[in-house]
Amino acid sequence: MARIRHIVFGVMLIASLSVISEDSVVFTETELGFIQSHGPWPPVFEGDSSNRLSGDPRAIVYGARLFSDLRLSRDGSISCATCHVPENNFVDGLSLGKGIEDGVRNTTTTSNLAFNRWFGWGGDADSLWMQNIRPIVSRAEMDGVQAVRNLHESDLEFGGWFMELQGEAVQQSSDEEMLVLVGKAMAAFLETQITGVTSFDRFRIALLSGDQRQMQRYPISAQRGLKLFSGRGQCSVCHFGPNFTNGEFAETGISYFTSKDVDNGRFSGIENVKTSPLSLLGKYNDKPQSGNADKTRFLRKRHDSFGQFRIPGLRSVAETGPYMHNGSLETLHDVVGHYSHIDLDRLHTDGQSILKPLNLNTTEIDDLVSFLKSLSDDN
Amino acid sequence: MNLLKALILVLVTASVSAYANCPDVPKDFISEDPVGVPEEGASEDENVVVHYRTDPVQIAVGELFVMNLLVCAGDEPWSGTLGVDASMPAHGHGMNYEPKVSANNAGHFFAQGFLFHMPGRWRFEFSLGSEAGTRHVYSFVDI
Repeated sequence: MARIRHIVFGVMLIASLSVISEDSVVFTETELGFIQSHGPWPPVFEGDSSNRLSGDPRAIVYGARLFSDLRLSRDGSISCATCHVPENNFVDGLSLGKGIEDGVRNTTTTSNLAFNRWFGWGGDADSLWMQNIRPIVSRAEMDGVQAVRNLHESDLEFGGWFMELQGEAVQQSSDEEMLVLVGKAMAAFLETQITGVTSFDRFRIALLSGDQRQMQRYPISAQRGLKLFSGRGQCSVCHFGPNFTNGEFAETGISYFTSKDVDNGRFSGIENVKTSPLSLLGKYNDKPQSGNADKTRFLRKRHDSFGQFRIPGLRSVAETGPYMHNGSLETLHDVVGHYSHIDLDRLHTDGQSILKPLNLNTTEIDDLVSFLKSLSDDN
Repeated sequence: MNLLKALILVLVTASVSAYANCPDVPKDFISEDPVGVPEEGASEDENVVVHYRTDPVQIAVGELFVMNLLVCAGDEPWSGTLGVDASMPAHGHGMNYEPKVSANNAGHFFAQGFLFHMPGRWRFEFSLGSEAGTRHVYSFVDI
């Protein structure tokens, strides 16, 4: 792999060096390595082995209907799509989510979840289907356990789907069994929500193949931003890979105090996923022999996970603001500015030493934002 | 990177030939002993060698992997305990996962639960426990 990577870098470096002009940027070998990692897009999704409904066309249809049905909430006022608005890149555009009560975390997009390792800002869930159950159960969000039962008992279509996929009527299922099936069906639907190929992806392919004409179609500002992102800014270290996330958690100097309490993020997330009967370590994992629960089994509880939050993927990021776990940064300029002038005194003294103030000038901030905007599906 | 590969190759060659009597050292194992590791705190016991191979051999960012190990003390298999962990010294952090090591027979160990979540230089730390105390052996890998 390392040898192949060197060969690829060599080809890319030659291609890159051969197009030095006012309209192109030269990338270092390290930068090219990171750029290489950001594709291809989309990656092959082989299904979720823990979910027997993954990829099942019936479950996808059923899950889509569940996702948009207001009857999943206690008072019939909220569906999943109320916050994860399909016409708005599956976000609500608010700083903090709003369910039956006001929330304390920003609503993240439900696009590209098929590629996550952990789910939720604190990683409280180790599967997409487990994550889908959380807001239904949450009293502050949907408080909908009884509502889900009522829906399946009163609506013949939903009752029929349940019977077909569960092998028994909802009346014969416990609340937990019912929620697991609903969660798995919605996961089957959400796995299909993959964002499209972007102008960045086309540039990356052109860079790899030395297609100078296609490379020059990518704005020079975005190219400079990409160089910052994958080079001096070290953004690619955490925002790694095709979905621009390494799938883990980081402390970024954003306050973890809420209006009500303290949101300690990953610290509680680890505790919750380790103890929940709904995790992959439990009986609802449909294929534990595959080793799909190993990430949870070997998960380490660390004191420096306090105040860490999941590193989000960046595809379509320009359309999913406000940003950070508490929605405290309104625009991408605000986010880049935050990292440019990050206050190291707000980070754990014994934490990671990756983040450093970049002191970017106005043009550099604009370049980074231009690059981030190129991660949106522009087809 | 190339220097590291060369160092590992030298260590493999030297180690396998030097400890041929330690049973069944597979040729594709990477071998690290304290002599080749200038880290402060490394053991000065020249007789202990940790041979290991990750599975998969090429570690990928964000993918779980396991490790097979053979630890030799001179001509004999290591009879003490073994712990394995990993960190990124340049970043000041370790893994978010805690490997578990199980002892098989005659110095053979199996460790599982590794996941490197960032690209860059990682350092394996092998902790060898015995009545004499704990000694450490390190090995570096770039991903």
